[in-house]
Amino acid sequence: MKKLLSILLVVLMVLSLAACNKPEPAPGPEPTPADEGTKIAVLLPFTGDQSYFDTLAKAAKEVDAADNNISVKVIECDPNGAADESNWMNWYDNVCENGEYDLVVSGNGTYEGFLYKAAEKYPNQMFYNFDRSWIPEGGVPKNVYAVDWALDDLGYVVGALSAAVTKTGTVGVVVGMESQDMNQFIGGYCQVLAAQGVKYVISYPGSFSDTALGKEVTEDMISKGADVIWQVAGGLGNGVIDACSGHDDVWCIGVDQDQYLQFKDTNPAWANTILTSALKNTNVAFKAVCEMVANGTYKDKLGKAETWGIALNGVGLAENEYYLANASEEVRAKVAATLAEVASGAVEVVDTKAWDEATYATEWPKVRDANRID
Amino acid sequence: MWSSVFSTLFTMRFLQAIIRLATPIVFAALGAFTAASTGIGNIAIESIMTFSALAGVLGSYLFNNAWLGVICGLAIGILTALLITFFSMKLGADAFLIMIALNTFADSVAIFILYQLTGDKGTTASLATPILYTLDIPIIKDIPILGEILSGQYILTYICWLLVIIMFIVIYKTPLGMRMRACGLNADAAKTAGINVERLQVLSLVLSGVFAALGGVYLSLNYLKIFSKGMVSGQGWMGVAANGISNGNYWTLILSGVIFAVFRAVSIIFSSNSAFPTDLVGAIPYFSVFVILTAASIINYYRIKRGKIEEH
Repeated sequence: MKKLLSILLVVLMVLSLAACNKPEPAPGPEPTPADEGTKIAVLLPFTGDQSYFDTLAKAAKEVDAADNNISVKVIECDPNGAADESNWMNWYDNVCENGEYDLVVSGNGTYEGFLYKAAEKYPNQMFYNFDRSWIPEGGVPKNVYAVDWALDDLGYVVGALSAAVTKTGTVGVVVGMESQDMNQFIGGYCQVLAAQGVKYVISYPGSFSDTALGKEVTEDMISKGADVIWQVAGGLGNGVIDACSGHDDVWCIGVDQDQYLQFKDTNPAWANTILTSALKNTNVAFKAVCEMVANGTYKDKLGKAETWGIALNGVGLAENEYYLANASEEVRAKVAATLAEVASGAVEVVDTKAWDEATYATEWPKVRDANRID
Repeated sequence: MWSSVFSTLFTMRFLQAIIRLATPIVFAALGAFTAASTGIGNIAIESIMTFSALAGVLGSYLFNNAWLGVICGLAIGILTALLITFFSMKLGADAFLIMIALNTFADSVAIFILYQLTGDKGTTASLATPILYTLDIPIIKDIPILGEILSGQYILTYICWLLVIIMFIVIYKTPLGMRMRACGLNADAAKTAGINVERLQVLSLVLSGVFAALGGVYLSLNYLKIFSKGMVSGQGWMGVAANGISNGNYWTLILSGVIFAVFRAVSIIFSSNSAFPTDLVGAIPYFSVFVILTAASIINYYRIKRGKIEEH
């Protein structure tokens, strides 16, 4: 018995050692230093969020694989999303200390504070914040380019599409949790629906992972008459899609990536309920940034905060073959008109992210509940 | 606000939602209860559900047959239970610590395996998986109200309620069940009476693993069509809590499980209600655990005081 125990312990130790070693950047012999083309490090907390971390990681792989003299390394440094400062700063030290990388990429509201800190510590290192929620007090640091996404415009377009497609005059949206950032998705959505007299149901199930809850919430919406349902809820959204696929006359709208393509081959029942998806093209911007770093124009972007909107293809609808086959001429014309209208700035779309806390507290309930049904 | 809440509360589809939501919780509760009946608290239900949910989908994909997927899920559930008994009974580790360890790493291990096999860290969306079906019971489905409740449910829901009845008979009406409960009440006395305590404890943990596994595969192969990261989301813990409330009473256990499902269904109604603070919606099921546990212990306190039951 003791022997068995000791063997087990040894196995455990070896395994844990192996586990510790894994995420270390570039173990073993260093590849030849400097001027081996452009080197980019992407620091993500984790992948598998079925959202824009995945989109970005995929884009990173594509850029890395393409024949362009750019190599990209994706590092997952916070698998549990603990946002532990010492851990993150350690990773920044790892990638910045030697000046090995031309560009260091990270972002998202929870983790970007560490990026700003690293930018201060390593003033000669160029950074790219791919998803900006806030800017430090003194403005964007001189060595950072920080972008965010015109999610308000995106929601507006989804709302216009929903209004054009619905037959019952009621649509719905499932949002993982209610917060000022998440509501940026649906401010424009509520605005356009209310303006067109379409009723909507909004559900905040309070989770991004509880798939079963997502399914039941959607069943509830469908019973209230909603026939076009948008999901902005990560993994919980799988339940939303599942529920929609059980009803022939209900469309689902995906989020972040083209979810029709995601399920087309393996789960046709799900794919065939997804009319289109509201895209947040972190990949488009990332690829553009990589290019700029490679050709030296990235320096012009440093110190700037920009919003990638419809005009830059930062956000938009997935116009895949399924959408083209199932959205009528008329619907597509309406959507195209809305896209043009928003891109040109002809409408003022509600943007919760632009509001301060006090405005948000008083204005948001009005926008949210304008034409909402319980 | 309230009108829309009440108009939903007393509808057929609310009842149906409760039935769908209760299945995994009742499975989990059965698992926790069976283990507790021989004196081993199984708090690893949540992790077993996670493992089995994943194993179910992978098995179903591999063999292209949903029922073989269920068997894979069950195998993993039994294996995990045996792992616990191996560590706690053979190696003398504290069973609770093993279970805590299991719960801590369950999600990450599941994702690790998922990633190794599919290259995806979120879901099994890339696997075309056959799934289980819903069952229409002939004749009964045509009865007006009863038909809507009794027919057209998921197949594992029927199995769940069948097991509820079978386990009642096994635990309370058979010699085996009597012996199991004897172990739970006083292991030493049971040993003196010639009962092989250890064997019964292993058996009860394995059964517990089977029930938890069924809860897991229900989620990933029957109710939903996918394994998705974090999908068990505390439903295993609700089963453990139901067992805590039951205090060894079988029907209290089942009732608590169903009540948790009712609160989950209520949270769904409130999630789309403009007058209810959305920050609290996610807390409703867990808050209900707290309220029910408190109520149960108050009731218990007075029953002990009046001498109706003995303190133990």
